[in-house]
Amino acid sequence: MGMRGAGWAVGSEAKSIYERLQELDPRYVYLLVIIVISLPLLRPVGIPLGTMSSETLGLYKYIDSLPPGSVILMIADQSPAAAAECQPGMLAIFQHAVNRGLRVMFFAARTDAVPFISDAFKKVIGSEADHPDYGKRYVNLGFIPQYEVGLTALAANLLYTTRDAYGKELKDMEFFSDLPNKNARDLKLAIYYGASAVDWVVRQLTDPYGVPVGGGVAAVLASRIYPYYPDKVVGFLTGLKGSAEYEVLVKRPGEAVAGMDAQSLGHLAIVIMVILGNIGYAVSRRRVQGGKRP
Amino acid sequence: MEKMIATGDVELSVRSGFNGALIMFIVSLAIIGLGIYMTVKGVLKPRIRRLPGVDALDECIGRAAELGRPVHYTVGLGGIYNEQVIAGLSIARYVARRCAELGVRFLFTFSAPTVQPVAVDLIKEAYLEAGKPEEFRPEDIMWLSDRQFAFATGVMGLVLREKAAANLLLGYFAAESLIFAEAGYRAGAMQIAGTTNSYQIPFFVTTCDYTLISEELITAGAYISKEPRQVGSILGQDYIRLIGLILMGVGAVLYALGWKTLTDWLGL
Amino acid sequence: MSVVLRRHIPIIILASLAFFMVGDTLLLDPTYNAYAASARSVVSIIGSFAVMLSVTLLSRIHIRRIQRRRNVIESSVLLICMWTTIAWGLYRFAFFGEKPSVEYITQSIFRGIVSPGDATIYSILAFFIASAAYRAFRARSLEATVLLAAGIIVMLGNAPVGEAIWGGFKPMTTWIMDVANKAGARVIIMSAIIATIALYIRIILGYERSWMGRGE
Repeated sequence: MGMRGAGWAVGSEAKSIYERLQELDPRYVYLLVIIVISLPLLRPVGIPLGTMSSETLGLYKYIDSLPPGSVILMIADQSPAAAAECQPGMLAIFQHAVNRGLRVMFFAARTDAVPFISDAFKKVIGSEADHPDYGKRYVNLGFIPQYEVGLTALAANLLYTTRDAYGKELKDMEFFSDLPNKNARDLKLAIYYGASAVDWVVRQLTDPYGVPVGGGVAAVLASRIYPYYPDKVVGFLTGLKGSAEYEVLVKRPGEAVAGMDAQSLGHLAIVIMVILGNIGYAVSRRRVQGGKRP
Repeated sequence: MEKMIATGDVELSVRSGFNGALIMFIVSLAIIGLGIYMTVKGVLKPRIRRLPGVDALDECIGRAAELGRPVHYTVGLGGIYNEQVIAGLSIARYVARRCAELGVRFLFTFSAPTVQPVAVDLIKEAYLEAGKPEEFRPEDIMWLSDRQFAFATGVMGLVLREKAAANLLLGYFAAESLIFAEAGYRAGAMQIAGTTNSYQIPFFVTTCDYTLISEELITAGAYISKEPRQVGSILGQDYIRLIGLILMGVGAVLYALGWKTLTDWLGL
Repeated sequence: MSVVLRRHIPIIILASLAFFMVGDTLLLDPTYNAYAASARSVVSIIGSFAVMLSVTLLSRIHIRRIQRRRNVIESSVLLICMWTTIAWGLYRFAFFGEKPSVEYITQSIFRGIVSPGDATIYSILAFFIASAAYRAFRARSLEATVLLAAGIIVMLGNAPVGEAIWGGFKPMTTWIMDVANKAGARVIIMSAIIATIALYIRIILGYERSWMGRGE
């Protein structure tokens, strides 16, 4: 007996296994997905991570080559939904920047990305505004509204918001005191985290100011970032896999590495289902048409 | 080329003068203007290739009329300043008019509050044009939420509850695209989608009956109107494309031969 | 008068502002550029005011529901929660200068309710992708078969398990994404941009009026 759901009535007359495969209730598919994703999270299988992606390495090498004191802009645009993929990458990159002695400036392009900046501060350097290096090496500008318009204004003047997320005056901060231009020309790299197109960052920072862009993006977005790679985007992390690779590079294995088994088996399950669905489709079509193509 | 200027204590960096992008903009403006002029004057009579997705709109509405079920239309996440939403709205006007003519209930959803006043006016006008202003129901134009996934669940619930016969997804879509398409599938709706967000197109192509890919969505409004001024702009747009192709070809050859002036001049 | 007010004046405002902003990239004049910068800030301000529009809309919808005695409890709870949050945020900002983006209670609501809710709905996509892949991803034609093969390769190449099965998945994925996908994505981006230029010109010239709720 098959489950019955809205729009998915399952016939009861005698059918071949292939036809049944064609009409499999989606809830069996859902069940399979939940099993293959949750089991490896509870009991890791330990599939080796494999070869490092050139996109991840590109970003790592670029950050590694920056002289200490260089300013990096981190654009947090990860919604809570995309954070599972992007946040481990943000932590790993921030860790790398801290290790290299770089100066990091954060801003959130959406309101719900603000907590992820706090999270990065807490997990990487231990505290936020009360950290001794806050205002010297790290700054959190908080939420800047209107994506591209906000970024244009920030690019023209890094002190555009006048105060940081905690209400401190930016002009009093050591972070900005020795910057020669106080605009995007002083940035050595901008990194975008999120699940939206990266075009606006390239348009407002790379084209007019020559600032290279990096990314820690949701896997679905990777196809959209490739047109800019490797000329304008120096490297990027593709979803959870990219984040896991960066965690390994900075020797700080965390959530992303832990999630790799679940991702692997999830992908594998979907591929197997696609193949099964197609076998059923091919066989049942051949039976209906007596082996002839329409 | 950049120069620094000082305005008060704020330093601004602006692009100076005549760069390739600006020249391209002015040339584009001129070519599209010319395309419109030539078409309006009747010098050129452009023929637009068929867009099956747009042609299927009537089939969708007809099917909804036969089944006695509503048509659901959404422009997705973008605000009124988004070009995909503007394009979606110009198609919505046509769909709303046809729905009014055939007595089909038209459900319209959106996520950005800025779309509300515009959508109400537009759809009301469409009902007026169809000669049935009394059938216009403002409560069928629904702002559900400006949070992406709250909006997505709202749309999903609506499509399933109302058993929409057609699910039209034309506008700006992100990760919620598949939720919409899945809801349409479960409601047994005919689905037409369109977006320029390249990373959502694969989801639509695999799950919907028709997909307007990239510029097809933007030009659909002009395609439907068949008005010479609008058609002329599509002609101009195609000339720009042609020039772009030639520049790309020539640029690639010259670059390969080591002559990079053209590339530099275009600011690439 | 109404035609002039509702049709001509918005188009005149739009066209003048559009050319003013284009001029910003053409002219290098401190005063002009400063005005253009202010104009950009105005967009931010107007965008923020849209939040007020959404609050008004939401309140109106739920007040109407309560008046009609439909979903009275849900609507009342929602209205009370929304207005309490707004009032609290304004109070903390006005008297203590705390931005909602760092204010404790607002942040707790985000972390405790909004974030898990969003993440839950997003994670449902895993099921939908699997179901859509099983149902719709069929080798119906040559193009569909190519798409199918590319999809399978990229999926396996993007997960460690792919490499564990066969070492060739990773380089093939890199090629598909870096060459085939890049070419396709560039076409989609460029054609959309050209079409958008034409759309904006239609808007500036007043041929396309759907943005202000008008037809021809």
